[in-house]
Amino acid sequence: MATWDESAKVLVERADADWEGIWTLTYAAGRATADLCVVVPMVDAVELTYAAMDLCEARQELEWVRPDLPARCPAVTVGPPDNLDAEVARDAISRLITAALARAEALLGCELDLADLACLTRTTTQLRSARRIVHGTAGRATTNRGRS
Amino acid sequence: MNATYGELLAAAADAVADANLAVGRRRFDSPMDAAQALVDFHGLLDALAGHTWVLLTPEQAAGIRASQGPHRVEVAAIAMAEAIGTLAGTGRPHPGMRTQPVTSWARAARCLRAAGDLLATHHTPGHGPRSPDADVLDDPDVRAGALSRLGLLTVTLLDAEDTLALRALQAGLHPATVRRALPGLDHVADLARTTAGLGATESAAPGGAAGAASNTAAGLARLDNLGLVTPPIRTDHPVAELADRYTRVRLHAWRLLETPDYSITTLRDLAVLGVATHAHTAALHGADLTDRGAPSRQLKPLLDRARAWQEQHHTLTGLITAGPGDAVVREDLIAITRILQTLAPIITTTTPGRGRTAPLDRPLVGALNGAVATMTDIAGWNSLTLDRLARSGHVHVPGRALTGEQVTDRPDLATARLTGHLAPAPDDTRSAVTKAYQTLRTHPFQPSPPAAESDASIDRTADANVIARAGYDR
Repeated sequence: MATWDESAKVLVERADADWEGIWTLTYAAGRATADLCVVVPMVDAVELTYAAMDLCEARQELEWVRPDLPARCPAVTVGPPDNLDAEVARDAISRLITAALARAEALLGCELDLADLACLTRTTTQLRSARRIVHGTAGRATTNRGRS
Repeated sequence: MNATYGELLAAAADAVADANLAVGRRRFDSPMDAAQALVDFHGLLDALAGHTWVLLTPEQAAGIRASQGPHRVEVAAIAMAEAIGTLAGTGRPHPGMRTQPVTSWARAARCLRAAGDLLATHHTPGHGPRSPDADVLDDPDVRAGALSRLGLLTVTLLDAEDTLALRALQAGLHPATVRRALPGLDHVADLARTTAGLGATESAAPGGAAGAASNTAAGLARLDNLGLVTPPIRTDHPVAELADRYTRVRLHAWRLLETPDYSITTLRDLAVLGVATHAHTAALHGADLTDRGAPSRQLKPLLDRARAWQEQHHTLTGLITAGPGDAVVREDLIAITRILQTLAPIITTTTPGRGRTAPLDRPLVGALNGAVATMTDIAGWNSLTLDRLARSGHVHVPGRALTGEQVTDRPDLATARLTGHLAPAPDDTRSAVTKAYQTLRTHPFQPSPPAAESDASIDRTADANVIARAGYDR
């Protein structure tokens, strides 16, 4: 079975630079973070739970302006959390989030209406907040740190 | 200031004691002062009668009158309130309420009326519930206890009747005026003594049931801690803010029963709050959260509960609904996690000065203990909320997340899996979430009920009570 790292690489390579790609990457990152939460010690799990919450929020922001995304996009995960190295798993999640952020930035170069712009701004905030936590800020993170 | 019912009642009792003492110690300065005192004395009597009708609704009073075996305290309290009503008249507002309070009796009356208003905020105009605490007076023993305290306050007030009459005459008021205002209230005092005395006897007597007495005491404590339904969030002290925000989250979680927001987001946020609450409480008591091994016996229930909330969050993450989450719950969650991170940080091996040497902050410990109890309540309500959402077809999962086992014998789920579209949440997912909530709805430091194996073992009686309180049966 493919490792999280391998699955993440494949997902990053294949996800398109559009709304669908961002949704798929965000979904996979969110599921992976939620999976990781339940296997790491509580000191990390609490903060990763906040990250998972932020990723869910980011996904919902996308669904708010594109309600058809969940039905249209492939809901792919990176695999079960068996024999997982926490640091490798964090890297894989971080890779997914970074890829989603890159696609969001690329999308900003396209013609968008105001609702789309607002959505991408909020999504980016949530994704960045999640990435900061996943990168490892043990003992210091709270929810939604990207917001004031 | 966020006053509680107990604080208002205590303030009323203190004011009565002050006024009684003052009238006993010195004469009035003028006939006007004496007249004011008489008016305020009557105003307080009127407030006492009025508060009796706050504790006992007209429907309950009618039931007690018609009952073959009524609670003796309630019978005495009704008679006391009716006797005072005959004396004080039915004109509204009472003359004592038309001016700012001067005497301590008037201040006591104001506290008592405020306490009645505070209780009223927990009910709708039709006496339906507006908060999870609206049922506190539904317990006859708690109601009798509250009425007994009212009886005691009336006895204390009426102790000053003779002294007040003497001082009024000394001040130069006409004897007929004094006689009309204070005609001899012994019959009311007797009823008040019966109300106060019987309350204490009855709560301890029947069957010598220590458990019942303990429940009554817990119910009275719950009544005393009751504040306004929607108090403002105090931000002048972090512990006060923490307590206020948990109270608001609790209220919003309860309101989801009656007015669901059709969103799994709120339930997920509440699960995150469950993780944070238990983990930070354990950290406050010195738990080492870096170790996955066995924690100390005392803290294990807290860490187990944090892990259980996390599992629940994990399951909820896979579910999709259409509605947006509750913004207030989200705001409170963010604020609470920030406060917890400051006041009860999770200590890591890299944290400087690892280990806890400072003594525990008692108000903070109290607030977090209350928070653990709050999360227990919330789990019970969330269980019902999710059950209702799922049964009404609002909860979905991505088709591709379905397993082969789940789609067997379900052509609709199989199609969703093949096309990748959304599908209704499978029954096993729904029952797994419900089962987890059943575990979370018992306090972590109370013995757990036998593990639920199927829907049949779920505590439906408790569910029915909650539903009834939330007004579904209306």
